[in-house]
Amino acid sequence: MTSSRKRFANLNAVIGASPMIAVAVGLYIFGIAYSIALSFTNSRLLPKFDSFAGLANYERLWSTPSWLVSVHNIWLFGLLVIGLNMALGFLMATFMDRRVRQEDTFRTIILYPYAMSLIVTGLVWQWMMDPGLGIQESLRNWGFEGAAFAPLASPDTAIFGVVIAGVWQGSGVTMAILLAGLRGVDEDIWKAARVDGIPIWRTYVFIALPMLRGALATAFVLQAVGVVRIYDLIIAITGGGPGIATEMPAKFVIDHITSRINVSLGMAGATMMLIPILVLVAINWYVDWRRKRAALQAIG
Amino acid sequence: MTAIAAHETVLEASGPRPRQVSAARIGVYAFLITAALFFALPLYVMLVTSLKGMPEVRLGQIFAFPSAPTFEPWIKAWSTACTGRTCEGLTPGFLNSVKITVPSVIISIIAAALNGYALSFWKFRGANFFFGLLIFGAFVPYQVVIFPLIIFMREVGLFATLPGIIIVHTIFGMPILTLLYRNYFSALPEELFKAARVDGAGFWRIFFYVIMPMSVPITIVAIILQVTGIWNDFLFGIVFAGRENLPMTVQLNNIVQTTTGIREHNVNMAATILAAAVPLAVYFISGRWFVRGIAAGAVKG
Amino acid sequence: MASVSVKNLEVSFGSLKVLRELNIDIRSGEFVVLLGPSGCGKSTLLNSIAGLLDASAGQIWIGDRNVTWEEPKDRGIGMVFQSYALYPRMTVEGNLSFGLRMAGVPKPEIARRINAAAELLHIENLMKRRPSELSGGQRQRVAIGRALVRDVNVFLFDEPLSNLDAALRTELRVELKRLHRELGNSTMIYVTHDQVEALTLADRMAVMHRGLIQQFDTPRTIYHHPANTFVAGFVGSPRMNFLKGRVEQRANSFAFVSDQFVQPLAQYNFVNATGSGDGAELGIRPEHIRIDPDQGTHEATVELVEPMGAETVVWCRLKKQTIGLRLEGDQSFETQQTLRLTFPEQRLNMFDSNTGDRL
Repeated sequence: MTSSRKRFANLNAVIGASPMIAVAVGLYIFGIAYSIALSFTNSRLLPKFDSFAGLANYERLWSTPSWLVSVHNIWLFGLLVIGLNMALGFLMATFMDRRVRQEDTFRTIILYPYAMSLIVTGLVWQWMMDPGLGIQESLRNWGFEGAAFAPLASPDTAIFGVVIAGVWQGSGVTMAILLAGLRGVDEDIWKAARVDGIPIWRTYVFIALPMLRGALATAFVLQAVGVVRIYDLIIAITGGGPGIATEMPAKFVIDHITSRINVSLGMAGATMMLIPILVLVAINWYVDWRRKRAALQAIG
Repeated sequence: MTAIAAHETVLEASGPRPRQVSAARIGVYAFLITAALFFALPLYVMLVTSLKGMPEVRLGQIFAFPSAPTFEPWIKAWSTACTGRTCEGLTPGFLNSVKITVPSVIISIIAAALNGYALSFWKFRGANFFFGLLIFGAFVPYQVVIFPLIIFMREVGLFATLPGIIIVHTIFGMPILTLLYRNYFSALPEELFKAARVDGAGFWRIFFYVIMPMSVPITIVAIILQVTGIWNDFLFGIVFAGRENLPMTVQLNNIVQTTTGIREHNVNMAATILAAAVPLAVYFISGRWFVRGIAAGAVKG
Repeated sequence: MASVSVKNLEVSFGSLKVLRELNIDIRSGEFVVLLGPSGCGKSTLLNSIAGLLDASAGQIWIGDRNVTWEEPKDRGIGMVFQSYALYPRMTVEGNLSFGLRMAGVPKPEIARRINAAAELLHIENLMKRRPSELSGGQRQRVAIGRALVRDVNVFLFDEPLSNLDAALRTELRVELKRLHRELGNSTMIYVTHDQVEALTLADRMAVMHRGLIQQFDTPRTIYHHPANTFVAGFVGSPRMNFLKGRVEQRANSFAFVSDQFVQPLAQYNFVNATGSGDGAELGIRPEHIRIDPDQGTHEATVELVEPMGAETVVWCRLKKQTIGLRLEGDQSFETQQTLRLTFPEQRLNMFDSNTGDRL
C-alpha cells in the first residue's frame, strides 16, 4: 500500500517531466537516428527505407560543388567570426570593466544587434554594402575616388562581407559574457595585483584571462553552435550568392529538403553537420571526466 | 603640465590625490566610442534611409540626414508593400507573429518550468539521462532533426498549421528553458521543499503554491528570451508555419528580396525597423534582465 | 504516546552507506539532542525520522506505529530547519496556515491554532508581514510556529539556531527549553554541532561520528564519563588533555605509567578489564587539573596564558606534551614558570589506546 503511494509521487514527477522525456527521446534519439538512416537510402521527396543506397549519397555529397563550397565557407567564416568576436569581445569587456562612465549606455549600444533577427542584420548590411548606393558610393561622393567597400558584389570577397555582419551581431554577446565573468573575479585579486605593482594590462592578460576559462568556454560554445547553424543571415544578406559563393551547410540541407527534393542527399549533409557537434560534446565529456577524476584523486 | 607637477611636489601630499587624465584613460574611451559608433551605425543608416524619398536615396549619400523627412516609406511598408504574391505590407506578418509568439511563449515556459521542477526536486529514475539528452539537443544543428519533425507533423496533421508551429517552438525552446529553470530551482534551498512536504503538500501543490510564486525573476528572464527568440525566428516559420501563418521575419525577407520592379530601399529599411521593433522594445525596456538572460541561457544557439 | 524508535536503520546514497545498523530509542516527552561533527550522519538520521529520506533497511516507529513507509505529513511530526525554510511569497499567517489548509482543516480551527501558537511565541504582531520583513530571530520563531500549529507530539529541529548571532542564539535556546516544558508531553529531537546547545538543552544526547552513535546518555554522564576518546575529545572546550602511556599492575592496584611519570589509579573505576602493560591513554579535562605547589607530582612549564575574564586558560608543557589548564577567575602566570600539578583520581578517564574505548 505505502509503496504504491511512493510510486504515485514518482508518477507525478514523470508526468510533469513528460514533455522533456518526449522531446529528448522522440527528437534527439529517434529523430537523429531517422535522419542518419535516411542518408543511406534513395529518398527524393518522401522517405523510402526500402531503397538502401549504401554510401552513395556521401560520395555524391563530396563531389557536389555547392557542398564543397559550403564546407570551405563554414571553416573560413567560423574561424574568422569566432576569432574576431572573441578578440573584440574581450577587449570591449576589459575596457568596460575599467569603471567607465556611461557603462550602461555603452553596453546597450554594443549589445542591441543581438536582440534583433539575423534577417534584419543581413538586410541592413546588404543595404550598407550595396555597390551602387551604399557606403562605397558615399565615400566616393565625399571625394575618396578609389574607395572600394562592396564585398558582397564579388564571389571572392562576399564571405568577408558576411563575416562583418556576423561580428556586428555577435561580438556584443561575447562582451556581455566575459564582462559578467570579469565582475565575478574576486575583488581582492585586483587589490593584491595593485599592491604588488603589476600593470593593469598584465593583470588582465595573465591573471584575469586564465580565471575566465569558464566564461570563455561558454562564449566559444555559443559562437560555435551559432556558426554551425548559420542560415537566416545567409538567406538575408546574399541568398548564398553571388553564384554559390556564400553557400553554407545548413542552407544546403534545407534546400535539399524543400526546393531541390533530394532528401537523402540533404540528410547526408545533416549527418556531416552533426560531427563537429559530437566532437564538441565529446571534448566536454572528457574535460568533465578528467575534472571528476582529479577531484577523486584529491580526496583519496 | 610639468610646471604644475613640480609645484605639487613642493606641497606636502594631503587630502584627495589630484586627478590626472592619463593616456590610458583616453585610449579606453577612444576605443569604446569607436566600437559604439560601429555598432550604432547600421541603426542610424536604417532610420535615415527609411525617412528619405527614393530620389534622395539615389543620391548615394547613405549617411546624410534626410533633407525632407517623410513617413511615406513606413506607411507603405506597413500596409501596401508587395511580397511577390500580395501587397498588404507587413501587417499580416505582424499579426501572424503575435499569434505564434504569444501561445508559444506561454506553453514553452509552463512545460519547461514543470520539467525543471521535476528534475530538481523529484529526481525520478532516469531523470539525469533524459536531461543530459535534452541538453545535448541544445547543441544539435536544427537541420539534423528538422526532416523527421516535418514527417511527424505531417503524420499528425499539424504540418503548416498554427498549432504546429507553436509546438515546434515549444520543442526547440525546451532544452535551454529547462536548463534555466533547473538551475534556478537547484539554487533554491531544499529545506523549503522539505518543509512543504512535512506540511502535506504533494507534487502539484508544491509547484503551484510554493515554487512558482518564487520563480518570478527567472520567468521574466524566460519571457524575454522566448519573446525575442520566437519573434526573430525565420527557419521554423518558413518551414512549419504554412502560407497562411508566415511570421513577420519571413514576410520582411520576401518584401525586400522581391526583384520585380525597382528596389525601394527606403521602404525596405522601414520594413526592417518595423520587424525589429518588438524585440528592440523588449531589449531597451528590459535592460539588465536581457543580459541576465544571456548569462543564464548561454547555451542558446 | 510519542516515543520514537529507530531499529537497525540503514540509509545509503548510491553506494555510500551513511547510516548502518543504527538503533536509538527516544522516550515520550524527552528532549534528545543529536550532536556530532558535520558529515557524521546526524541530519541524515533526522531526515529519515521525518520521512524526507528513504531507509534502505530497518524500521522507524513513532508512538506505536511503524511509519517507515509513511509520507512525512502522515507521521505526526513538525520540523524546523536551519534556513527557516519559510515560504517567501506568503505572509507569516500564510506560512503558519499552509499545512493546515493542505490538510483541509476547517477555518475556525486554523485560526484557533494559529492564535495559540502566535501567543506562545510572541509573534502576534507579525502576522501580516512577509518573511523578508522579519529579523532572523523572528523568522525562526515563525518556523517553530509552523511546526507547533500542526498539533503533533514530535518536533524535529535541524540546527535551528545555527544561522543566528550569538546573543539571539542564547535567547532562543532558553525559550526552546521553556517551550518544551510548557508543551508538556512533547518529544523533541534536535540536531546540532554546537556542544553548548547540546549540553544545555538535552535530557539525553547522542554523540554521533561516522554514521554511528558513539554514546547516548545524559549530558552529565557524557561529559564526565565519555565512552571513548572521540566523545571525550569532541565534548568540552578546551578539549580534554590526552596523555599516552600504559597501564601497569603495581602491588594490588593499577597505575598509569608514561615515559616521564607515574599516576596511581587505586581509586579509578574500571568499566572494562585490562591487562598489565597494555597501551592506554589518560584523559583529564583542563578544569580538573589542580595546581598544588606542595604535593603536585607532575612538573609543567607555562608556555602561554589566555586570560578570558571569568576564567584563565594556561597552556603548559608537560615533558613532551602540551596540556591545557582551565582556572577560575583572572590569574596571572609568567611564561617558563614551573607549575606542580596533580590529577585528581576520581576525575580521570582511561581509554584503550587501540580501540579508544573507555577502560
